[in-house]
Amino acid sequence: MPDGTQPDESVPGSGLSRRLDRLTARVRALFVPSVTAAALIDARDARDPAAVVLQLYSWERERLFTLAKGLAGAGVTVLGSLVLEGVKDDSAAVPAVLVYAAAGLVVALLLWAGFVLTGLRRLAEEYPVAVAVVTFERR
Amino acid sequence: MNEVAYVAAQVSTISAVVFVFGILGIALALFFALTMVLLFRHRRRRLVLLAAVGDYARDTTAIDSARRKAISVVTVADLLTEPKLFDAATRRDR
Repeated sequence: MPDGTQPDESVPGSGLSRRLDRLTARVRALFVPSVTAAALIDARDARDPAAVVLQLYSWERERLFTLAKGLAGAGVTVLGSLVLEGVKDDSAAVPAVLVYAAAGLVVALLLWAGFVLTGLRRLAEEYPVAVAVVTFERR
Repeated sequence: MNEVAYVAAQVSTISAVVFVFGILGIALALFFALTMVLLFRHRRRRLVLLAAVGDYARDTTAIDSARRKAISVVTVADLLTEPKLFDAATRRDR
């Protein structure tokens, strides 16, 4: 009988496999909406499942918005530093490779933020399905 | 003598180029092989986890913390990509 301290055979996979799963999930959450299926299933037993699902998706939307705004803000900050460095006219003090790397970082951060924002469409598509799942048995 | 040195230099250059491209080719082949293995593993593992989510959906009382933690990596988006498992995961027996 699994008690949380022994490997659970009902979900096959070694400890390394599970750690890899969790690492993948964490990395994926940095890019796309990640409302877990288990949370949705648990919501079915709540007094008002639709409200629980709404709260889950609101938190997820807020998380992604905050992430996107932070990334875009970091990108703009780096861009501002680059512009200031150019205005100071002592560019010889900064190696060219650093300037190019910073410019690449700006592009990467803005692309990342844009990817996160466009991924919110998937969140909107998932929401009605999630509500249907938790409220189906109550119709 | 100069011709011998010239030919030796050319052979050396060609050998170096072949060596470098050989190493790069092997590295590339290993990279693709590793990618394929990881993709296959990801697909197989995801199906196992989705099946476990289906079991959990049918009876949420028969759950332990280790199993709950293991299936917490499956997202709603994963369910939507597997219609049959999605149906299984949203069906409740009791």
